[in-house]
Amino acid sequence: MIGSFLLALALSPAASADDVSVAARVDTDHVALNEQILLEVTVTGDRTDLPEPAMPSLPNFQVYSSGRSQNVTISGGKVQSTIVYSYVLVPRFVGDAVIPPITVEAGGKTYASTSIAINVGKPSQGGTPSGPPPSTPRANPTARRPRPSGGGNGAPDLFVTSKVDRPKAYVGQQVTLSVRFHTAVELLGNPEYVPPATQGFLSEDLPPLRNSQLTDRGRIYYYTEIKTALFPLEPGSSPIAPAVVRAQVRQDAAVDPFAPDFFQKFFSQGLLAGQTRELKTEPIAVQVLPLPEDGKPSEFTGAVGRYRAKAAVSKTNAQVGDAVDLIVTVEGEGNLRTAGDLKLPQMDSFQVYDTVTSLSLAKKNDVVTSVKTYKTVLVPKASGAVRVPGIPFSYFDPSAQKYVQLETEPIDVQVAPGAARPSASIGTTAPAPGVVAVASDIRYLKESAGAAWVSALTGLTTRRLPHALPLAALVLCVGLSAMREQEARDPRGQRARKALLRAKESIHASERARKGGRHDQAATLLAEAVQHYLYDKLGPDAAGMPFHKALELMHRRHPKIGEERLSSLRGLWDELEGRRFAPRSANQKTEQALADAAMGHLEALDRELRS
Amino acid sequence: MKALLILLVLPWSAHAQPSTDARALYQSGKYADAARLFSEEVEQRPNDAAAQYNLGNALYRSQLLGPAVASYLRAWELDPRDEDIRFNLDFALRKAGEGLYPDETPLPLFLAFHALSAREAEGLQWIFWWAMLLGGSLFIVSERRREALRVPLLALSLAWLCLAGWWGLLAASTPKDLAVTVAPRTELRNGPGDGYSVGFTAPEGRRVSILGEKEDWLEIGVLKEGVKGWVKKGSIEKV
Repeated sequence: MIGSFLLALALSPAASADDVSVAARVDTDHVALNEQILLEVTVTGDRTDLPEPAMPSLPNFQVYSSGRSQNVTISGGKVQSTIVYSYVLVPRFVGDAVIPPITVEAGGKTYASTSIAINVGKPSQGGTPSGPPPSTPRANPTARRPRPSGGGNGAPDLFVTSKVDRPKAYVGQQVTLSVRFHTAVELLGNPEYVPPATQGFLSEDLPPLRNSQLTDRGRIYYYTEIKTALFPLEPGSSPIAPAVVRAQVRQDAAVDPFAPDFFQKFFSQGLLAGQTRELKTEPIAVQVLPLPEDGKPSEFTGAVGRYRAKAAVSKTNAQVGDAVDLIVTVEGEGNLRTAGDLKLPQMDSFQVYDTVTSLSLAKKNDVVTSVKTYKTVLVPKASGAVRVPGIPFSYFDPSAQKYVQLETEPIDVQVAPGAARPSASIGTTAPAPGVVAVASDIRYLKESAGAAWVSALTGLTTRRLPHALPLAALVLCVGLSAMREQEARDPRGQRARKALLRAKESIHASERARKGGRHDQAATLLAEAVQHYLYDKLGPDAAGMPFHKALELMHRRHPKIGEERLSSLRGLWDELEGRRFAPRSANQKTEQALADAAMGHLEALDRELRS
Repeated sequence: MKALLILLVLPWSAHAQPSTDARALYQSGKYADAARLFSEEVEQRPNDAAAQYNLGNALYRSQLLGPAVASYLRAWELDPRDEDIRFNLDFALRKAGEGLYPDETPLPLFLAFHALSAREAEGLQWIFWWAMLLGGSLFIVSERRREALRVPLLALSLAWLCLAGWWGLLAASTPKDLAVTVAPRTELRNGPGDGYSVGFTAPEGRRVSILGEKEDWLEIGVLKEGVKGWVKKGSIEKV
């Protein structure tokens, strides 16, 4: 039956003008009271943000949304979007009914389908496997007309209950609301269900309805259960308002057959006269927890549930300038209606155009599942092997109470050079083609190590202490230079200061001469060492002065020199004079003693002069 | 002098070619593994600008913008004349919301000023320092070479003065404790602790200077905007 949908409406006349159309179709136009109708409303347009259809008032039916599916195609730069909304219609009364035109507002215009006529017959015996909430529950077809069963224990004829599957939920986590309508009496038609106000929730119906029976306080009740998936939008305490069920029951007024007005009452009320009973559920508060901030990935855009993601491209071989569709599909348990756009990574090899999304919702086993498809047109900028990187997607898993990060597999696309554009005409002086910026990216690795001299130069900066060495050398040279200048300015003083040094050099020269067997020269050098010492100390005043006179002059200038020192020097001089002029009388040993004595006397005299 | 020779010779002897393994990993898209090998190269040759540059490339490809900027900055500090290093550093900095080239400074002037890095200018001025002082020593002790040495010594002294001044200006224009934000969204708090309110947030890869330290917190200043605040130590990487 599902496969043989009856097309009830063609495109509306106004639709073709603006490329927006709305169509409605039902799976059957004849239905029993205990059966249901599947209504599909298809909205097609050249935009992705097509509005939802506005359902007209359908007093003869109870309407439940059973999902939506969307398909988006991009061709030649144009977007074509088709959204199919599915509804389950449960008839309430026997007779002819009409589904009025279903409208869509787009671009300031209203597009509408045509009406659909439906014939509702009496309940069938077998019913349909997915039958609506009838007064004759599918589970027990023979008990189509429940009769009052007892009721002596204060058990009501009708009552409703409501409950949620979890009192606490995270933002975006599914909360399933179950409303049960119980009846122990025969109903005049199917009850009317008014869903609760669920401000602060995104609401999705969860058809089909469940029918069964139970025994409560001694009475058999037939019940219908209606489930709704709610998705909290904000943290805090969110209330679910009471749901309302209105049912028509047979009026229980007794008619006295012996009363005078029996016939009047009998015909005015009728045997099938009914009354409307309105039942309300208790309000329910759901505590909504905020999504944790810790560990929230940067690419998280609000998806809550459990998902998987995959990516594909429309072609893996393309030419420069071709359009390649990148299709990222995220599917799983949860409602992706409030999830934001993907955060695409940098793709410098492509010109990236806007992403269009399509969302399909399905409801299986009371769980809302979503399939969200993100289509992005990529145009390769340059030829070669280019890679579409992994696309990240994150969601919050409320059962594990943590964020999960997914990334699709990278996709390689082989891009061939685009067809060359022929020049306008041969021989014309068309401007030479310039360099065209295609993509901006970092430059490639360096093949060789950096310049070695740079490293060497940088190495000079690691230790700074050795750089004090040239400064020390300069200071040393400056000192030496100063000394030299000093000598140049005071030659007499310099001579006096170096007198002992020169005397020692002469004594050493004398020793070398003596060891060489040149005794005369040795004696002369030794005598000159002593004599020149005195002359160096006394300066030009002593020039040509005999040794003894010079010694006296020394004594006059330096009276603190002891007499003993002077006499020792005189004695030494006399001996040296004797050695100079009578060398044969000397021997090796006495020459050595004289040299030692000369050295000792001069050093002692120098110390006394400096003291 | 021996120490100087060692300093000059050591870097030359330690010079080697980049790893082919790291290059192959980079080529095959295994950027994280390539970054690990390039990092080992950097440890072996910390003064090699190319090694730092290659590490920066692998880090950038691994989506680690902050560490990549830090590596590029180190490479630029070693060899500011390399056009590839300049390009990639500017590219990465622009991803972080700033750029290498200041708007208010003409590009030729900026490039001329940064023709030498601070360390290169320092190294060169040390060379001229040695030449100038040793030449000066010779000038002092050797009277007969004085005439021949006078002009070269003057030129050396002027060159040294210029290089030392250049080094000083480069050092002064570079923050002493330069660092880069490595967290995707670095929160700058108004005090050294989680209890203080967040004053600013900075994106990954921004250049900052370290102004102070207290326990696990660092006071930083964001160079471009001039704002400052406290961040946890792990959220920045020193250059």
